[in-house]
Amino acid sequence: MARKSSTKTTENPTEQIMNAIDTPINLEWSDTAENLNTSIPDLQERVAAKLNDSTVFAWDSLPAEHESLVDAIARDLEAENSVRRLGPTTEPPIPQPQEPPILEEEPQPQGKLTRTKQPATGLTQKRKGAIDKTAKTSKKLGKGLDEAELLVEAQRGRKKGAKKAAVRLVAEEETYNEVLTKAAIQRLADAVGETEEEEEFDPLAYVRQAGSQDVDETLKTAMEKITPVLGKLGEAANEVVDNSYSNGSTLDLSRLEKLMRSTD
Amino acid sequence: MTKTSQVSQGKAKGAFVIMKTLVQWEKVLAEQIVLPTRNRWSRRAICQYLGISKNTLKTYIEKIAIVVKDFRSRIPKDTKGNFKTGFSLDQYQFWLVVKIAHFAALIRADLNGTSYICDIAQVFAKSQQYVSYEVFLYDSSLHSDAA
Repeated sequence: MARKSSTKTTENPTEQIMNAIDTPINLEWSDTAENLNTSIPDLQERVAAKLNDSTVFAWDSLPAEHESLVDAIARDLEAENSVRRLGPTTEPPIPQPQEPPILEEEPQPQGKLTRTKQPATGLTQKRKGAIDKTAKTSKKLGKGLDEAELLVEAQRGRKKGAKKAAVRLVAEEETYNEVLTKAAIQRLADAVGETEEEEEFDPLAYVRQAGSQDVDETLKTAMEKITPVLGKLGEAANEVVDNSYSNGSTLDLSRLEKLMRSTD
Repeated sequence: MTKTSQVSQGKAKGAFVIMKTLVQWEKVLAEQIVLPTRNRWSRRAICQYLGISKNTLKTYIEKIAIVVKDFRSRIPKDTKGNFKTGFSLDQYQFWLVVKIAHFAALIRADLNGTSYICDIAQVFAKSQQYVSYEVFLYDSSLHSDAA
């Protein structure tokens, strides 16, 4: 029986040596932790968190395939340390404004007979809901009442304004008619005076010829018509003046008063 | 026997082992163990209690128990922040090591001599919620009530 040659395993020792040299070596926990300036458990915790595998703690060494993890952890540590460095040096403490001292409330003496306030009993959910509902309804009602009051006020204002406007219009109309009548009378009187001065001039004849009544009668009729109108006019003017005062405005009534005096 | 059939048989065996492991893990979880109480448990005392060697205990602690976060957080550290070597265990850590030892004893025969440490570590890493400190407290309170 031919022996198996054992040259297969030791066929090319140079190649084996080269392979062994090329094979990456696993990382020792202690060395890696020292390089990263951290403790072994901390490094293991970080590796376990990255790999999501807590069996990392049972590993003798860190496999070379996870070398990239070490770089990532180194970056994380550097970032954390830089944040820590930034904290106390670059940010000076913000001076806090001094608050006034809080005075303690003086204890109020309690008499023996004073009743201690009973703590409020808890409301059930149902009662609380009912109270909330009632509050909402009352709020709505309050709003409705406010709106109704505003409407009433607006109607009152409109009524008052209509009255005032009517009084003013009546007063204007009456004054206008009165002034016109007065002017007509004055003109007529002037015309009569002028014609009386001339001899052989009978104005009444002209008037009669024109089919008119006597001047005296005309004047009398006119005065009869004018007097009650003037009385009403005076009342209306007084009311207008009163309203204007109550509204805070003043009227220039000198001309009207002058006119009124002229009738006396 | 061809290579393909061997591979398929191996796969089937592996799946069976995993299934059995899960069932056994459930058993270990459900098992309520009454442990003696001490403030600190030295490694020697634990070895005596469990009947295991110091090396085995070291493996249980450094390869399996350490993957549990609550266990890790209770390991004393030196000034540099590294875990202290040869530290003694508190009651929760002792409870966890006992659970590991029971589980290892159950699974050891099924794996027929192959390495099981990494598998157990994987199981404990994925089931940390079952061996957390809260679970230990709950377990302890049950026993204290029973006592």
